[in-house]
Amino acid sequence: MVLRRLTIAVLFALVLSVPFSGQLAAQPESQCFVVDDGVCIWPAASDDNKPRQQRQNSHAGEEGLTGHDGKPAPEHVCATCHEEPDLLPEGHLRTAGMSMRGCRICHGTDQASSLDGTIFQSHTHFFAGGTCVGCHEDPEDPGEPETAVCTACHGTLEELALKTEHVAHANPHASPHGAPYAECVLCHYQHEPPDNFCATCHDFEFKLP
Amino acid sequence: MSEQSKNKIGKAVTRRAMLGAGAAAGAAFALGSGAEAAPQAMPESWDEEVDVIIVGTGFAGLAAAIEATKAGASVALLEKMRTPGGNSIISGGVIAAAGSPLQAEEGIEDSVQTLIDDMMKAGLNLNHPELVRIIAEKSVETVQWTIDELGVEYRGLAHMGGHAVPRSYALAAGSGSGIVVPQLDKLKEMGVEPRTRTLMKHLLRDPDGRVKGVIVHEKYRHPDLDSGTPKSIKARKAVIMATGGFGNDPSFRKLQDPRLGGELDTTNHPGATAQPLREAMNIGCTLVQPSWIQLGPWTSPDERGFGYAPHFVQGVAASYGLWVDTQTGKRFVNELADRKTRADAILAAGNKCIAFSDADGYVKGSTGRPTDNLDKMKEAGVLLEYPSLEEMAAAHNIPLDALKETIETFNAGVDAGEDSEMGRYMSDKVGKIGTAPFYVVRLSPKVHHTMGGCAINEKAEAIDVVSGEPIVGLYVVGEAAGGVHGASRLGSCAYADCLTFGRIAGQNAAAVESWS
Ligand SMILES: Cc1cc2nc3c(=O)[nH]c(=O)nc-3n(C[C@H](O)[C@H](O)[C@H](O)COP(=O)(O)OP(=O)(O)OC[C@H]3O[C@@H](n4cnc5c(N)ncnc54)[C@H](O)[C@@H]3O)c2cc1C
Repeated sequence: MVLRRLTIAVLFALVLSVPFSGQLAAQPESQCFVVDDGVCIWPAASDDNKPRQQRQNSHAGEEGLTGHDGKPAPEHVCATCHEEPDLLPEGHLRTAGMSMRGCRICHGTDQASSLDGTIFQSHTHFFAGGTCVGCHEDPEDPGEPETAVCTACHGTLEELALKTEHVAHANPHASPHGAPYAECVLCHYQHEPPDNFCATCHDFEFKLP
Repeated sequence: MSEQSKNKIGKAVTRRAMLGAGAAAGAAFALGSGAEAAPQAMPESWDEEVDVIIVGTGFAGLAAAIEATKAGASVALLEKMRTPGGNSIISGGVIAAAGSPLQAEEGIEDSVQTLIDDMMKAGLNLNHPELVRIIAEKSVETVQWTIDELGVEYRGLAHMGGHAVPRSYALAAGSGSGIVVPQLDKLKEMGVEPRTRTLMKHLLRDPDGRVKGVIVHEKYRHPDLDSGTPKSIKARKAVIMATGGFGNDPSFRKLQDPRLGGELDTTNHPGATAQPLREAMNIGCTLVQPSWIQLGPWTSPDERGFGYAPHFVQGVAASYGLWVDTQTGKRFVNELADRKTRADAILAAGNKCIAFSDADGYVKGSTGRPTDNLDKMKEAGVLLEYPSLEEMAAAHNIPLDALKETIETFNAGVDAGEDSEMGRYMSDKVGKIGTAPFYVVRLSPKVHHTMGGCAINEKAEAIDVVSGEPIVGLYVVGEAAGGVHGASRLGSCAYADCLTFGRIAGQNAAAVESWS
């Protein structure tokens, strides 16, 4: 806890003090860069550790790195898509270019300030480098993806079941009702808040991302 | 079409970046909402056409789809919920077969006639005998079909209440998913996939008397009957209604049996509503025996649905413990009687009964069950544990002296090898009650099966309410059809019913002459 406060303080200090060097070199995830108008740029959450903006530019025009409508993917400024001025509380750190992992420093899953159910999972995926075509074969006519699409990155159902073995009430990834009840899209909505499908019939209080 | 996004957290999300995609879902038009009984007009043109439309993806609908496809018909397989399988996929996993290979292996003698007699007896002879006979005669063939054609695996025979002999094949999977999943796999192989979230909103019956198609709502969101996008589908040959029962429709239940309204929970899935039956009546089907609604006696008010309770109430307490009325401290029914007798007795006692066992009984009744059941049931607050009989009695307001007397009488019966009070079957494993701790599950029957539905004949054709003749182009099968089980269905006979008549309807529908 103390450590996290400290980290946040350091981050703020960085935001305020580090002048934009003009060069986005690979940096550890927890650091950000301030561009001229005080907006901070976060390195990407990807393995190659290259800052998001640079990656995006280098892939400019490549299929999948553009939004639904063919326009470039939003540059991670909430207001690119969200019109509401009050989307972020007053005094909130500016989020331009921030990766989802940046958000998670303050809004981790176990924290009261968790973003789960507030920020849709599609955002999490998007900020982590996921694209529309990563899940939807045809972004112009997006249907619910097959479970295999999800398990390709997240591991097999058996592996997921091991992770949730000790969850109270029942293991949500080992339903006795068979494969149709193991479809990821039953609970983990991407463009809406998640839904505890088991709770349609059972008193299982699962908290889900 | 873009998926319309709904923001449940209250903040309007406008996606400037996505405006280009348009809100096509908003273009949906509403056909007649169908709020009153009146036949729907035939559409001037159809959005889609197939040979056979099958509504519902439980045992019955899937069996019908397999047979119709096998016979060369093109099918549309509709399911209103997000998941296929209805009650079938969440069910208990036993199917009756009279004179089966497994019985032969175990040296059990059985016959088609014995199964018929058992079903008719439980059904108070209200069953339509010609339908019962078909199920009984084909029961072995049906189980064999699941093994040979679907690769279904069974782990042995079970002896269900009301059956003269052990004759129920128990699925290795432990639940109905052990048949539904192989059915779905088989269909996938054949190129047929269920269209989930597709509601059959209306059946379309031409003034010439024939059922010719349906109006569906695609992207339907249960239970909003006006949600989704309307579309018409033509059935060149026939429509098969395999829409299940109405156990989860409190208002319709109450119409049929005023005691069974909204206060009562159910073991059924949320999609088990009367909407398809209402539509069937609207085009002239005959509803038979709808007031016969079966309650499961082995459920608890401390959890929803079927839940964990039956493991203890049926598996442990009915054989090794006792069921008592908390107001009197006395037993009130033979704990191994048929479902109806027991559920009626609990309700007659004011729904204030418990099932309990001592520690020894718990161990005996739980052999073969998952070892963490006890923990899970306790954690869920369904199973209550007491260090002494006194504490158990106090917690449930049971008169202690009466309770002690009840146990003494039962224990004397254990010595004598006979239950003098209720005539319950006593195996030699049953022991005297007395070792702490004591375990309790509160009892509250829940709606389990609806015996009534559309009248059908031996070919699974629906019967017209005015003429009494078959309605051309409409079949009804499974729990949606009425009359098979009479007043009360025997355990494991629904599977046999759904699969047998599902197959019959699929074969017959594929053989119907197309009307265009
Ligand atoms: C918990 C439980 C345990 C059981 N255990 C056993 C057992 O061990 N042995 C046994 O023999 N019986 C058992 N039964 C009974 C048996 O499972 C059911 O009677 C049987 O599964 C019904 O099958 P079905 O195909 O007729 O209907 P269902 O399996 O209920 O399928 C009907 C489907 O139609 C869909 N539908 C309804 N209306 C529409 C519409 N308008 N448009 C599109 N789709 C629609 C529903 O959503 C549903 O998916 C059990 C029942 C329950 C609830």
